[in-house]
Amino acid sequence: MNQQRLKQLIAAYGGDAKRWPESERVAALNLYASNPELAMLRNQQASLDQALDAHSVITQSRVTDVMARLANRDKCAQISRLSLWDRASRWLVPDTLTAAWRPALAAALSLVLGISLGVLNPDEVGDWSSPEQDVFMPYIADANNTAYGVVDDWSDDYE
Amino acid sequence: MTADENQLMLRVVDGDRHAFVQLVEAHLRPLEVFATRMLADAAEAQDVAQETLLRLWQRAAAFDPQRGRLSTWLHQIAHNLCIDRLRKLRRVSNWNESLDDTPAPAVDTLVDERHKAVSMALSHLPERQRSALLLTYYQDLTNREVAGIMGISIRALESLLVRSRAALKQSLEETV
Repeated sequence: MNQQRLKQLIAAYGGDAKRWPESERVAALNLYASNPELAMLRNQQASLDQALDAHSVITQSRVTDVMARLANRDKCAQISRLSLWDRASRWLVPDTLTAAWRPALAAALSLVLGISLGVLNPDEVGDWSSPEQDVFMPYIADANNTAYGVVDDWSDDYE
Repeated sequence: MTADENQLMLRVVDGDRHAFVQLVEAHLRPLEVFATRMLADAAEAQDVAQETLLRLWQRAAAFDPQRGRLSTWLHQIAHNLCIDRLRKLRRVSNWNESLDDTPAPAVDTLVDERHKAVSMALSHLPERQRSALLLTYYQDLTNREVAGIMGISIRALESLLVRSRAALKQSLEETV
């Protein structure tokens, strides 16, 4: 330790000896005690040290904030591991009532989609005004056709 | 790093949330204090402090007590996050300035003019000078630890400290 080094310590770490590096502190204080003219250097740093010491900061974070973020992150990680189908199911059927709008929205969209398809494709709907027998006639006409061929009329065999 | 913290870290590696809570209780405030002074923005500082501790949880296995104290490791993470935020904020600030010349209102939690003057003077320091001063003066870290966090030599750290103190002193003499 020499006078030059002590000046460097004061300029870098301030006038308060407790902020000087521990490994050099004792030697620096001994040198300082034997050189009263160095007091001026420490005094020059005193006002800045006081201003820095008085600079307090109010903190607002709480442990619960960190734990809530951790829980949220875990939940996101779980969801990212799910398949697309599972993710869609979880979205559609939520755990909480606050998200009950999702199934309602899905039902409403399905309804709108169905009505839209019906309105846009009116020809697909058959003519329901025809008599019932006309509609089913082809099936009735082919009633004697089976996978084994045409079934004969057996009514004569019993006569 | 204390023996207690060493034990807690081992438990955190095993996924013990109670151990994690104890570490959060010990380190949340000093990290937020550091980030608030670095960023001069309370909301960003809270985010940085909380994110730092979440990274402790996620990367606990990567911590090596032989290389330094837990506090030093956490400050290194917080410091890196602060530098990232400052660069992003600067980009946003430059973009805003190009749209509007009116200065943004200063956000801080300080109460009187002298505190505001110190806050302002700190925020005007170049990034590396500010890091050096805040980590050395306020965060209970040795000069060797701060040099390690910043990735510089002790000599370079002391050079930054001398320049930061001179700049702060001049700034405060002009404003107060």
